[in-house]
Amino acid sequence: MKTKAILPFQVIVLLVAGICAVGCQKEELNPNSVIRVAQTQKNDFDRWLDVNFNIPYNIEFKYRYELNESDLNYFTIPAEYDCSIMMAHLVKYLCVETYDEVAGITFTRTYFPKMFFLTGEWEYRNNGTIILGTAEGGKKIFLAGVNLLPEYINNVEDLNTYYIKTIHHEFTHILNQTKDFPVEFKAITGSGYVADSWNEEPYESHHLEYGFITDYSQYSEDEDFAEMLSEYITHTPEWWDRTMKAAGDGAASIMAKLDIVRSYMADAFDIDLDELRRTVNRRQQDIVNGKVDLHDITIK
Amino acid sequence: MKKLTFFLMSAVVVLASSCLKDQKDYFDKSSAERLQEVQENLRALLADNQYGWRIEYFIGNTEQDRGGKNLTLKFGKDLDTVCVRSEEFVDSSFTSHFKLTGDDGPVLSFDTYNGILHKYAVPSSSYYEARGGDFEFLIIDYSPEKIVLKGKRSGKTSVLYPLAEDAKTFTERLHQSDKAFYVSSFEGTLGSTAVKGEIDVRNRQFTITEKLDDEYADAETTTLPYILTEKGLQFYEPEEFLGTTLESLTYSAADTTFSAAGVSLKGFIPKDWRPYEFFEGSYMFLHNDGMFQIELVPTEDQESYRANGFGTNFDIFMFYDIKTGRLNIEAQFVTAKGSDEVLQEGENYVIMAPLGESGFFGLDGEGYSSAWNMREDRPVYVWENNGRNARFMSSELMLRLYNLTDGFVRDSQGYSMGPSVAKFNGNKASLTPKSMQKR
Repeated sequence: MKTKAILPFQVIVLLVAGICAVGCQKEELNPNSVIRVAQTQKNDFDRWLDVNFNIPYNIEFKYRYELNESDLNYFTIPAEYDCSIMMAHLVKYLCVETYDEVAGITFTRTYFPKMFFLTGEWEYRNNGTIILGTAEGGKKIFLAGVNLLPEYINNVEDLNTYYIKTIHHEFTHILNQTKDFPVEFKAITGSGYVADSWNEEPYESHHLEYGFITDYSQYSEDEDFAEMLSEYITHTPEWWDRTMKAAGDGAASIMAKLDIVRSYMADAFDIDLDELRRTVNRRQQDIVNGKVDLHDITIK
Repeated sequence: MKKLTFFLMSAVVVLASSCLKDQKDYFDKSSAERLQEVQENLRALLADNQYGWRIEYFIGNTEQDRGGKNLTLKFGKDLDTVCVRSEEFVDSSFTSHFKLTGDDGPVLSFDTYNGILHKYAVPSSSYYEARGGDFEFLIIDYSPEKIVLKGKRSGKTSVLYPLAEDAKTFTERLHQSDKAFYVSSFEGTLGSTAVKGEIDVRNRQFTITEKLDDEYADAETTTLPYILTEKGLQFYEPEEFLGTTLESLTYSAADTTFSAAGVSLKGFIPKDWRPYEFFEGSYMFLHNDGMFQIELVPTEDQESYRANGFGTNFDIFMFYDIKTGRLNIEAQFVTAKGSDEVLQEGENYVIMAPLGESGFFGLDGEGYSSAWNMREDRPVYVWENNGRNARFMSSELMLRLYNLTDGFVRDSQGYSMGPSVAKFNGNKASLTPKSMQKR
């Protein structure tokens, strides 16, 4: 066959080319790497982070500003050192250790994002909304507004609204990126997703009756799923019942979606959603009641 | 034909591969090594000075320019810490972190939050693109005498100089000269050309315009951002205007004049500027729902007045602004009548603040200033927006309860202002001396 006849000729050409290429002047490679990272010195907080995040979970907790980690579409500023310490404690106590308790440390080590990056203020968009945080590629959680933490620390509702729910919300995205949720979820309120109009009327104030747990849920099915899970676990059962009552006709859709969330967590990750809620609620109370010293960076 | 093409292509491969490399290095070290070297030199240089450095820090973005501020920086030797002072807040210093890194070149980055350095970089709902402050700088040039930085966001140049005295002494002196500098307009000559102009002392902008006989003719004009120096004003960069190079001006406080080579300008204080002492006495405070009598009593520091009569059980303060010669009403903790004790309801403090049209309270000096009607015989002061934040419009003062941890909690139950909450806007509200015999 024709093709077969050509093959040896090709091999010869390649061999000759190879021999010619080798016959060039010898060049020594520079043994030093061209990649340099900023030289910073470790302080007490860095050492605490090593012991509490880096070594046990392989999580990098970046509290010092790096332009390349930030979103260049927004005007961001660095997080404050003391506020970052508080935030590290909150992430550890309310998220990392919650999943250790409910799903085991192997789950946390496997799925929990490997990097946190903090900035000081919210990301302000020019349409009047703000961005509290984002998750990227199953690996990184970005948390904004850390410098405002002292204003919200004594109130569970505020703490959740601005930070903790955000972490659970972003972590849900990461779980979804690992294992997709059933398509039936989207079908329940399929025509209700309105993208950027979620913060306009009537969507902003009528989301419950439309079958969405928050106004932002109406952005897309991915956001809806993350909102469902994070709202459910960060609130008390009483709050949930009250909200369902307020939802009226919308409650059926929300409950149907909750069932999918519940079975997804059980089937894919062997996590009991209600146990997760109990644990989150108990730990939130501990924070508000001051049982955890959020400023302590002594290494135990 | 196919074979020929294949053969030719093979020949190209064979011929092209026999080469002799002859690249000359322009530098003896790689760019990464040189970058590292600059970083190491800079780190040593920054920590070297006994008193640290002072920086002429210029702020501004495309929409707004805020001129320059004098700050001081003391870099730590062993830890990545930097202690910052400013002529703006002389009572406190802020310590945070810095690092030397590289992207487009060597970069000095202040990478944890600092109340002074990041003040103008903080975004908000009204300034989603922040206010032109930089905290990451490219190092343009460095020597023990001077380090030239270029802000990565604004592109503005800021220069570091070694400090020869204690940082606090330096910032306090510049704070004092800033306080004493309230010239708002000027006239004079550039070379032989007559000029006039205005100075925006808050945003440190110096606008100079050719003075023509025909006021409708197109006059040359330019606006220069400046920073206050020990001697007067230093412009952001030298600019040639009407044949004269404007770089810096020496200011004489005694006769409010500015001078430099070929420049002679006489400064004027605002037309409706009134000295502090002028405001003492009793007035009728008019607002949308009526009026009430107040008494302005000077405070010991001669910087504000206690206004008796706003409420039956509390007083508020009006602050004298030496730059405008006006009284200001702005957010404040409310004190009990005749006392300095801040009123509390449980854990919450009573605070009075202007309510903006956007629904937010102005807590950063936003509020009202008293515009005088320019009449000595029947002076009336009308409250107008004090211009602290051009986007903040308010026509209402409210008493609210404020919690140090939670922020605003709710309306105050126990205190109301005057006969009701004092609502006023623009022309309807005024401060009229009750007794015309005053002065």
